[in-house]
Amino acid sequence: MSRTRITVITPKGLSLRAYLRDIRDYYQLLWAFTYRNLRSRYAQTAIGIAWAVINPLLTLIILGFVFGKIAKMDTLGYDPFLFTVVGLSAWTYFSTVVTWAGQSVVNAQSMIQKIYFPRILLPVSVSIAGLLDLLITLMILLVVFLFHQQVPSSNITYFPLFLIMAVLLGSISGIWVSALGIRYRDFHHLIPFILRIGLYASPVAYALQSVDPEYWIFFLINPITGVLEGFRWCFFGGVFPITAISISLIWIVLLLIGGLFYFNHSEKTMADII
Amino acid sequence: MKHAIEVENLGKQYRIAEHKEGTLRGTLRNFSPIGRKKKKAFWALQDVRFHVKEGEVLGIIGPNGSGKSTLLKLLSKITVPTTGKIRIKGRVNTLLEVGTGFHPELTGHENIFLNGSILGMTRQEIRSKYDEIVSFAEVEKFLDTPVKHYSSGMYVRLAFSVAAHLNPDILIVDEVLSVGDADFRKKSLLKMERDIRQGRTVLFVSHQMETIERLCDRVMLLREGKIQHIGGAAEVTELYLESVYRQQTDAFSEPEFRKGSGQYRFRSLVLLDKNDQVTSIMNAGDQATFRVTIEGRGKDIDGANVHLLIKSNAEQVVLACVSRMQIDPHQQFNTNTVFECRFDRLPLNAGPYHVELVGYDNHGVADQVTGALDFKVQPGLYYSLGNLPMHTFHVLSDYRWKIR
Repeated sequence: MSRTRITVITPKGLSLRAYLRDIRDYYQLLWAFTYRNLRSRYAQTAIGIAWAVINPLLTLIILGFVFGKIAKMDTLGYDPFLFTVVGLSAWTYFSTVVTWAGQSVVNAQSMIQKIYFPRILLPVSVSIAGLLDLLITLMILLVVFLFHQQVPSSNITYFPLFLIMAVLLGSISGIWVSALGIRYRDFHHLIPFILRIGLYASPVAYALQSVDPEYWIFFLINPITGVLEGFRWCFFGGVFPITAISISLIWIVLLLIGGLFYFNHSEKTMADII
Repeated sequence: MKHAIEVENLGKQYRIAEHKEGTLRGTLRNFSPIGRKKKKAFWALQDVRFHVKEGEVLGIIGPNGSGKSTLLKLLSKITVPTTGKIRIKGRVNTLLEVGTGFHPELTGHENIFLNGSILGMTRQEIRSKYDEIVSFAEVEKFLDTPVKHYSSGMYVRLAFSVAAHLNPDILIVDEVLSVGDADFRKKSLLKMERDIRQGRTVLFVSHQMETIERLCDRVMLLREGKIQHIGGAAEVTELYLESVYRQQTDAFSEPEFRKGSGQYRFRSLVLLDKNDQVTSIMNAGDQATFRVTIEGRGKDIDGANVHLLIKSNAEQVVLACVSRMQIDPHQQFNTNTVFECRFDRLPLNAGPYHVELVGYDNHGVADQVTGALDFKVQPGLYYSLGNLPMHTFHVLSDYRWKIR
């Protein structure tokens, strides 16, 4: 060790700088938690990791069928099934991460009372673990595209950027939800409700352009809109949804900064409240 | 900074709030001037100041609830203090229990890496210590088996072994040396001693005065959240033991004011571990013996039936051990008789307990001592997977689940 580190502990807890330093020191724990999430989720099931394929496949087919073939919303002339399925892939990732991350801290309570580590790693590891499901979903998507004898637009090369955006938004929402859920248990009831409404209130199964511009404001203040529009732009092309994406990015920056402060603040007493 | 650890004016206050705390409604109410309710506050730790020199081993002792665990939690950043300041030089590792974060579905190999990372080791460190960890735990053959299939012994050996191979500047340890079977305990203690001799700074909480005296340079005695004394190991442990005995005899003093006919009186009650050492702390599933001494009025006792009632914190009797079930109560007993009630495996969940003694003779109640003994049970290997049920379920039992 080159320089001996001095840690100062006061009633104020860690400064944001010290907190970020701890996160850096413990980054390997992030992988350990991610691995634990993935392994424990599929351990002991008869077909193991195959569930990671079956689960999204069935969800996509059923919801895609309901929204794309029965409800037949305005999808700007693209194949309604494909259109819905792309939106659903992003939405499913987001809602899974928020649900799991919300419980991640509460579930780790025995650990939290016995040892220190930056607690923020718990929700973040959930969003990274969820990435596996999302990637599998995307594989399925490509197969579905081929099955419909279509190819994604050339914008698909930009897709990794939107993937990063999705993971960031997932992580940040997870951070907020888990911190709020510790302080206010009410959030554990509120979250499933919000997610259920969100499936309809966000442009998952329909295009933003098909909505009367009068109501756009409701969609644009929704941080997930940019991700959904971005995903679809990659697969179908069309006009680059600059407004939705910029607003999502602004949300991400604001929520990230606020979330770090809030989580660090609530981390001080997490072991006492849990 | 001169010392490895410097603590000034440290205090931790907990609020015992009504259940509304932590709900949206509670917070909303706290904003309104009408609904605000007073919370009871109590100081788990107050006005604590001390320092630890580099390479020094400081023991921390004190009765249950004296603030030992709170102090360790503050030092290890698990929670923040209410007042004061701690300064620590170097890397700290805390060991409040073994096997933190172990996942039953993961293999031994995977759990070594997972648990090691949680304890703050890097992958490289774990890899370099891997063989040592495995051979110390004696689980070479089972590395690819999920730990839920481990015997309880193997499980704690592996868990302890990971923890024992930490390499921090400062190590904070809470009573974790008492895991595993006797051989393994001896081995862990030796390893701990060897590490300490290498000049590591250690803070060490234990109820075993013998271990404390052997390992520690200085000892701190905590009582009701304050430092009562800090000094040489022998001096402070003696001070502590004296007060423990004094407290014990207090409950048995003044028998003339107690209930009952007084045909015989309880003289003492002690809890013994499997080496017949007096103790006030046990692990769930350990061998435990309650030794009750009764004394007649200078002549033989005409009939005796001892009820040893183990009560939870909520004054609920969780176990009643009635001597009449095994010893004929109608016989004559020597004027000084020792009753022993032994559990091969103490069937109590982790938590604090106290014991009430009620003595009957052939006519009715002869004597009664309400606060005869306080003791604490720590998590132990009662069930094969090493877990215990929720703490509100006090009694453990030898049932067997199986899948047919």
